[in-house]
Amino acid sequence: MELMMENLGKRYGQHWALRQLSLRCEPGMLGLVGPNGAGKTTLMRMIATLLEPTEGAIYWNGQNIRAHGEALRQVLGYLPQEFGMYREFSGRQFLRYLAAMKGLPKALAHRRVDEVIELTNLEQVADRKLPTYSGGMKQRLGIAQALLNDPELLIVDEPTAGLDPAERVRFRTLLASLTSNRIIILSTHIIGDVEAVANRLVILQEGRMLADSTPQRLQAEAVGKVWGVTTDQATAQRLQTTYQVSAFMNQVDGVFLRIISPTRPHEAAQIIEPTLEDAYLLAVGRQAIAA
Amino acid sequence: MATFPLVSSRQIAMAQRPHPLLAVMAWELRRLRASRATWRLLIVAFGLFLFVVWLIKAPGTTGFNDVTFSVSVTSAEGLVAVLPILSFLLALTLPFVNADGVTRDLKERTHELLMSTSVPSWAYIWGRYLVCLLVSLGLAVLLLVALLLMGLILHHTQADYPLPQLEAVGLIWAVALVPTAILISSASFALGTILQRNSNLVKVGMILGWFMLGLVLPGIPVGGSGHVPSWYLTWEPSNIGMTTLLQTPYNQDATMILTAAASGGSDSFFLAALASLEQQMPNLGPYILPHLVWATLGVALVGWAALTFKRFSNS
Repeated sequence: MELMMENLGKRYGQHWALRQLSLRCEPGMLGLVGPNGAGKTTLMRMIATLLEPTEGAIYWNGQNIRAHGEALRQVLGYLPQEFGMYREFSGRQFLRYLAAMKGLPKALAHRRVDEVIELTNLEQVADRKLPTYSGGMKQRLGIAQALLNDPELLIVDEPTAGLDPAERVRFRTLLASLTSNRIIILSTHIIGDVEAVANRLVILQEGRMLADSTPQRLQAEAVGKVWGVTTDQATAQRLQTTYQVSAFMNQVDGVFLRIISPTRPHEAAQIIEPTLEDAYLLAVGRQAIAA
Repeated sequence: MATFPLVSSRQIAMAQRPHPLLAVMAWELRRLRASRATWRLLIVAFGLFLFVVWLIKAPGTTGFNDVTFSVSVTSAEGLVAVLPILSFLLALTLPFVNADGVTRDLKERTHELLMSTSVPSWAYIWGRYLVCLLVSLGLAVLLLVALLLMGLILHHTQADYPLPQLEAVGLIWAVALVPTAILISSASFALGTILQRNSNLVKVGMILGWFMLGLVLPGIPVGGSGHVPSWYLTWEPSNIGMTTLLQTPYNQDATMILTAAASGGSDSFFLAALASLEQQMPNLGPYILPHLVWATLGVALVGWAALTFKRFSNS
């Protein structure tokens, strides 16, 4: 099982949304992070055979998906960032409909729908009409449909958006339990999601790949560049305008700042353990400064 | 969320897959059945058809002395006279049923979910089309039912209104209106699929196009003669030309009956002759091929839409 991208690019008019991206993915979870407009959704839509690359190619098990999209779609589970549902159906009917479109035989589809409903904690509402679903329920239904065909390639774009914290943790656990013998590509703004489950991290910015690393390695690169300081409000605000600040917390004895900087930002600042979010901001910020 | 293992892909591959075309059709029918909008459409359409048939219940009248004869809409002559109106009713309703057959997924944002499944494009397009066609033919049947029902109601409520001519009405409906329904349904679906982001324009275009074919184009003098060529009247699909040509013998015979009545015939002779005339079956033969050709062209347009349908979008 292998997904390969070679010099992949997508241009909208004169603007390149993605440029010269080459990646090779094997079973495991790849976390895709980057600021808005970095090209994450464009990349995911191209892999899901929904968007035509302007240049380069994507190969699934050695076959170009441009010509052999069917082979990929057979084993694909895709959760788009935004999606709609048929108002006429209940959650269970909608899942059975998509199971039929994925080619699942009726008996298997029924069993499978029951399984994914249980996996996503939708048993209580599965027979309710879709317009009555909350945002979180719709998101869980989206996750459920992506799992219907037990996909070898699972692409999830912002899957935890709209989920409450408990559901988000449950979903992360579910994703983590699925990583063996399948490729999962998880795009998110929430670094905590990637930190918890991804064994590989790709950072995109302005359509280009900024980093292809592991969360641990990226975090290690930030050691010695993250500072903690407790100061008064005025100094804190001055520091915030000068340095990249990853946390600004009001406390009883002042304001605590997490500052990302290669040099000591304040005489009272102490080096602290970096989080993955710090490491991400360091990588993205470095690029922004270079630009 | 529990985390027990899912059924493996191998199990799915080994099990027998449903036929994709039948799966698309079955689920589209289920969706339509579950939708209140479908039932509302059918009720409103049936009400509209009944109302229009009531409005046109007597599409022609002929007077002699103090006696007036009205042609009934459910006779052969009467139905021929109102074919353009009934065709226009179909042109007015069917684009709204068909043009969004595929576009609806874009509007409801279900397109990406569907296009990332393994359903083949041909099955998706043809499955959706066949269901749209089924609904369109259902509406054409509803129009026939409205005609016959209103004919029966009028027969029981008005003393001189004849019983509907079941055979003649059925035949004219089958030759003229069924192919028209297939053409409008197919063309609306195909154009809506090809011009996915302009399906509302397609609906308006279909209605305007119908006007152009039936009313505007025949008004343009051809070859300096000032007359519309008869081949155009035979072949144009809006049924206005067909009505024009088929009404001529009825009008000629009615004139002869009037002349005979004026030269000594009685009122009862006049009424009986006209009643007999309205039940005469017109010669539909020359119109079968043109209607079949148009219907086939409509289906071919759907084939083209299916062939050019792109799963990969560029935006």
